[in-house]
Amino acid sequence: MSDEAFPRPPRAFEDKEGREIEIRALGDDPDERAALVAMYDDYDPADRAQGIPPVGEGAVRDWLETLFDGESYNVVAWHGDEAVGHATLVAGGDRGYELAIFVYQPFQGAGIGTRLLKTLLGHGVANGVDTVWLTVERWNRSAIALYEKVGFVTESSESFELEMELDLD
Amino acid sequence: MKVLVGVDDSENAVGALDWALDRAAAAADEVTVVVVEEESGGAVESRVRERIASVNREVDVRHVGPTEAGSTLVSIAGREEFDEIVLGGGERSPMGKIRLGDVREFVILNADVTVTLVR
Repeated sequence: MSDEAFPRPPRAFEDKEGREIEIRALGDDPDERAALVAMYDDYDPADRAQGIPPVGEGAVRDWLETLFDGESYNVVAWHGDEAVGHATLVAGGDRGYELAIFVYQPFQGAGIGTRLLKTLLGHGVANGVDTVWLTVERWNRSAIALYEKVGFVTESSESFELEMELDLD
Repeated sequence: MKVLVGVDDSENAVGALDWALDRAAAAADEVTVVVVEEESGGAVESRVRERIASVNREVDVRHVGPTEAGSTLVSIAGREEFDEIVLGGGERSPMGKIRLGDVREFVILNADVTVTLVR
């Protein structure tokens, strides 16, 4: 897979609203983690999917701890010191890494999600991730379109959720 | 009230049974449990019988295989005039997403009675 398709972090660009955005891999920096908690704490509940992100700062903190404690790769989109998007790959199950992506509402529709998703996949490839899967509610058409755009294929669609998969190798 | 509880080996299935038994103690519900597992008398059923023994209440326990679980729960509820079906709230993926799965989805869409998912 070429770097062009799935570039590695860090990556800087101007979004469709002219805002300077930088995508970086998330490390152990407590300030950066706190900024991410703050993003989710203010996240619009209408944009939750399948129970995540949870509601309430404590629950958000617990959820993120669970992600970070496991084997996971995380990239965050920054506008200055403000976290405005987060995408994650979490190991588990018997078929590679589960993917999820969230863009903070004031920054949605500005081209950040696509770049965040591709950069996460580039970060995954660089770390040897080969198979990525996700589930998405079948009425979430904009998310499904985004996943299809980067190459995800629907594996199963018999339930309320679609299962999609992408092979990176 | 007549309450039908479906219990399989998923995360909160036994929690759903506990919830139904607690309420039964307060509201004098009549509780029936359908154990969902491959073989009758397996690990899930013994967990269920343990819970029931601890509350000292008469509870009818039946068995069904996983593939017919959804349709069996719905048809028992209809035929025997249950008021409610109670199930565990679903499993969580590595990411923490809730997944309902085939049985819950089938019951929610096809039951004529109230369906409660316990989290």
